Amino acid sequence: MNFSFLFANDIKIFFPEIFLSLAILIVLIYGVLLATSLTYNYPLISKNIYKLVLFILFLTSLLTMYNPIDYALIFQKTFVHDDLTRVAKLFVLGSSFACLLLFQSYIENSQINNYEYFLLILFSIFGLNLLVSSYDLISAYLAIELQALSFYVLASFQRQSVFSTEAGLKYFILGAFSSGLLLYAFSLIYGVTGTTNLINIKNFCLDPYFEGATIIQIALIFLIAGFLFKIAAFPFHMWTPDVYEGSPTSTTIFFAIVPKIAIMSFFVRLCSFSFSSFDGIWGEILLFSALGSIIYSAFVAIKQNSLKRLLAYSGIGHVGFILLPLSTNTLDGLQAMFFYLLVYMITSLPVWGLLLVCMKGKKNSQNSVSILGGLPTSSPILAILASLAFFSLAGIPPLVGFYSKIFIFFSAIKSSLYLVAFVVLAISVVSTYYYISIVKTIYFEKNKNWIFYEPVTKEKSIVLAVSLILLFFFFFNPNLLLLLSQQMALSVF
Amino acid sequence: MYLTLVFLPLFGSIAAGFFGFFIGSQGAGFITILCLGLTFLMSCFAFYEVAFAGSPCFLQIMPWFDSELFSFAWGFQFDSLTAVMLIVVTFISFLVHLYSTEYMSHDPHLPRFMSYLSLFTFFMLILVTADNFIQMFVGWEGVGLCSYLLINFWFTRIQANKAAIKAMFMNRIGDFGLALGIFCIFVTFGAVDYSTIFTLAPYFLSDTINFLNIDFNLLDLVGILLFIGAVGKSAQLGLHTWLPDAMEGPTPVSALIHAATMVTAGVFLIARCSPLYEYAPGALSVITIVGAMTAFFAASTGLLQNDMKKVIAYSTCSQLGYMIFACGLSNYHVGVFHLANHAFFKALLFLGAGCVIHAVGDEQDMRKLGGLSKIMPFTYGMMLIGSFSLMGFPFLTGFYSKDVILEVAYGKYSTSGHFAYVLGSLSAFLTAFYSVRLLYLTFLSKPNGYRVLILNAHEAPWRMALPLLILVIPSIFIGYLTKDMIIGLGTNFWQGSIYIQPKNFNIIDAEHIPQAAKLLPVCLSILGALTSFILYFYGSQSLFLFKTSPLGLKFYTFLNRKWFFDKIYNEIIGQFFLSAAYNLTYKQIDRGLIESLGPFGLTRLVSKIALSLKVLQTGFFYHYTLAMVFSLISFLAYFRFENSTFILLSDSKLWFLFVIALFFINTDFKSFKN
Repeated sequence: MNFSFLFANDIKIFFPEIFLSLAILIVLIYGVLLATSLTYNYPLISKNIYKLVLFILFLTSLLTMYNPIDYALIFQKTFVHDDLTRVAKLFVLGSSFACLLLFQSYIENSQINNYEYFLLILFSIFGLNLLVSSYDLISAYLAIELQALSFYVLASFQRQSVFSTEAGLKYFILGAFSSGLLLYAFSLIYGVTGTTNLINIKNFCLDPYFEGATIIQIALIFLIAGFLFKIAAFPFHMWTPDVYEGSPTSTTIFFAIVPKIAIMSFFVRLCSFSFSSFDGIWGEILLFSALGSIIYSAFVAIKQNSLKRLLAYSGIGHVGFILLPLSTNTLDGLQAMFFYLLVYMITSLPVWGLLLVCMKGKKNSQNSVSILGGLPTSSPILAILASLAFFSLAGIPPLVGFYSKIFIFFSAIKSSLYLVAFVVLAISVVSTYYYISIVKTIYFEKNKNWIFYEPVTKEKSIVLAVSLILLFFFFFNPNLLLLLSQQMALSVF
Repeated sequence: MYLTLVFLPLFGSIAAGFFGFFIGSQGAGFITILCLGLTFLMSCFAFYEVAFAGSPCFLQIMPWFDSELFSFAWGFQFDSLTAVMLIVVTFISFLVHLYSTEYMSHDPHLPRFMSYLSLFTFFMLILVTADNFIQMFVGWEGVGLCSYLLINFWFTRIQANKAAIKAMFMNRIGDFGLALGIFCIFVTFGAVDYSTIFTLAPYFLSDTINFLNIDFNLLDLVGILLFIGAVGKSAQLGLHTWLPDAMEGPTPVSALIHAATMVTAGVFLIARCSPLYEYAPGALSVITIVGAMTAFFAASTGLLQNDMKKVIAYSTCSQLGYMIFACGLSNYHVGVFHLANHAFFKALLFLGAGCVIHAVGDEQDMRKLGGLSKIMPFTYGMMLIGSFSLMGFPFLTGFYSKDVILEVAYGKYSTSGHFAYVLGSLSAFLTAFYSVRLLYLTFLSKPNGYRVLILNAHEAPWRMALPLLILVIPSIFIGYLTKDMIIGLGTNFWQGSIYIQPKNFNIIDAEHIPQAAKLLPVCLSILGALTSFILYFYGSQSLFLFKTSPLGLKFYTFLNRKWFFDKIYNEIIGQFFLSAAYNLTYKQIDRGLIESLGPFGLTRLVSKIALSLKVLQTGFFYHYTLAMVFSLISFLAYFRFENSTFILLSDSKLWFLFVIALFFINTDFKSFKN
């Protein structure tokens, strides 16, 4: 094979990532030079960088969207490019874009003036994009570490806040622990098979005379433990509420919305593609984890007063819903899972955006649910938006959240998980209870004193409105999301 | 036109009900009367087209339910039976609307009242024009609802509330029977539209259906269940108690709903289902006997009522009994004929009574009236004609239908026929007696009311007098004019909308019964009238003596208290059900078992679990690490020993048991009391 020819094509396919990395570097240099420049009197360039980052994200998503090739394994099968990666990357970029629009004013108000904040976000996006298209354990690990390291810093970005530093430290230590688990799993796999490539691993696992099955089982358990930590699923979820609450809210939003789809798409590839023949093990663990997440989050969220913690637990519950169809290891299940992921991202935008609007900039303590009580009087439209968003999270028609839940149930029932479907359905009642009790707080609880909210910026309002419209639009016409999720599911196998 | 005539009253109702605030009392009255007038005119045209010109009209509007085997459409059918009902309903309704604008003129809620009246008319039209049982049921329930609303129109009066609830309650029992009947029909016939069912009825002649673990003849059971509906709506013996109490409503309501139209829906239903009943002899004899007993019971009760409207109400009940047993004797057309005639003179009577009540300041107790013939001679004349028509005085309207009913009863030559004949003739006597008693006590006796009231009494204003004047014409003549057309031998008026098997067709036999049997009812009613007149005019002293004698007192109490039906219902049945419902189903099951396993138990369980789980979130990262390591090791252990001990944990049934066990651990009944 002609080396240069192969290389040329690879670069063409990999161009969005290359562009992104180069752009990051250039912006970094630009920032370093300008921010430390005596001639310009050490200017605050975070707003400047923010706009640049938006522009970079926009260009990267354009490049990703118009990638000329549909399917390819590139760089010696280190990376893959197919429908799954394309859609997942687009959603990562798009949701980061929306998140940036949402929390820009928050960052300004809470005086995070360091331009590095945006750069770190860009780094983590780069890591996530690499993770999406990873086809090799090593590249995946590097990508995970890239985004995780950025996340650690993002979590502890408010250096003067005790909560923020505590959150960052906890996240870092526990994250390092989970990375250790992952690395151990990878080394075991490499030790048994001698390869780190996904398709090679798959071939080994399918081989009936493969002798390392027991080791692979153990490795798989470690692997799953590591990944469950990354996506905050049940037995490894405990960092989530603390980190979500302590971090600056902008970081929390970013944590909650963006990384799940990237991690899940690599995780799905690992489970349903490479270790498909071991689905007895990972299926069972995932099912346990899914049920645990759903049940645990539903019950604990009821007793939460802090809106951020509540949303963190609700996020754990949603991870449960995401894992449940994956554990069936069927095409329908994967489709339901991706559908749920996409809908979750869309729904999270207004929910977390609402939190941003209602929270007082500096004081992290002021984020109890009752602050929503002033919404109907001060901003009736926001109140409606909030209640609709929570209804969608609870899965009440006519909002798209209804479909995403029902597809999960369908996939569970199709795989004969009747008891599971029943239990999840019953627990859904509990989770619906706390979503609706928020709506109750918004509309039916009298506030003793007036609550003042920050005015909603134009960008924020656009993001909120568009996501809300999408919630309705996809209920009446879910074909687009269905097709996307089916494409994603199909390209796993 | 056909659809317009059904929906115009609805339009009037909406206009008066929702926009009454904008158009005011006069506007609401004007619009509803206009709509009803137009509807009446169209009904006349429809009557001409359908009944005279012989072209029935069937309309299918749109599908309503379209679900595999269960499908039917919104459909309207206008045949002769419907046409008769249309004329009766819209005519009386129109006059009552007109009358109400004056009678209720002092009421601030006149628009609401007019709206209810029009809504009632609309539902009644739906009922009579439906071409399937479900749509008929819509109308049936709709008129029940309007009846409730109108009885309870003066909703601040506790008696009105009670009467309305009672009416709803009794009708509900009947409706339950009707619904069961419709279910039976659907289960066996697989359809709910009249045409299918009536065509197929002969084929189910010997079919049986298992109901309450007993095999019944299908058609008999269906017939009886439908009849239970009719019993509720038409106030037949057993479920009749609501009708006298419904007199708490405004008098125009009594005239329209509880005399002329709604209560005859049961008769209409039986006549409409004649092709079904003709193959259900068992049901027919039940209908005959219940009808005859109602006729006699109500007449005897009406004898000694003191409330003017209640007397007329019992007379309505009694006349309904006549209609029902006429239908039970397979003479549906005679029943419907009596229905139409009765509607006219009974509306006349009620509206006349309304004039009296209006004049004397809402006094209804006949013992406190009297001497009004001098003050309001016009009303007296109207009431006189109405009463004579009611008692079947020769050559007035009531005579033509009532006599035929009794003749066909005799001409049936069956046990139930004779039973009906004897009771019907006795009722005729009683009817005449109480009619004259009413006239005497209200108009002819010496004034017994308060001076102020009598001084202020006045003749009815024109808007109340006009309906009386219009109604008096059919009350005198309509029986004579339409007898040959509606029940004449060989008339083709009904065109198959009523079906009578040839072997049940006995109106010819009725012509050949003994002369004495023919004359007896008339003689009895004249005798009753004379007796009453003489007793009250000349023998009131002896009447009083009889009433105060021990035997007489018992007799008086028995009849005045309506044979103690209400007492039995309230004290035995009602009390039993109330206490059972409160003590057993409410206290034990609803608030006890279901609450503790349901809402209360669940919420307590959930918050307990939540609290105990919340404790796990300590905030120390070494605890978190421990949890992670522990779960990792558990996973490893689980898959290591998957095939031995841990299999127990993975058994889903055990988990289910575990969840149930949680209820019993956490349910602490003592703390519920706090």
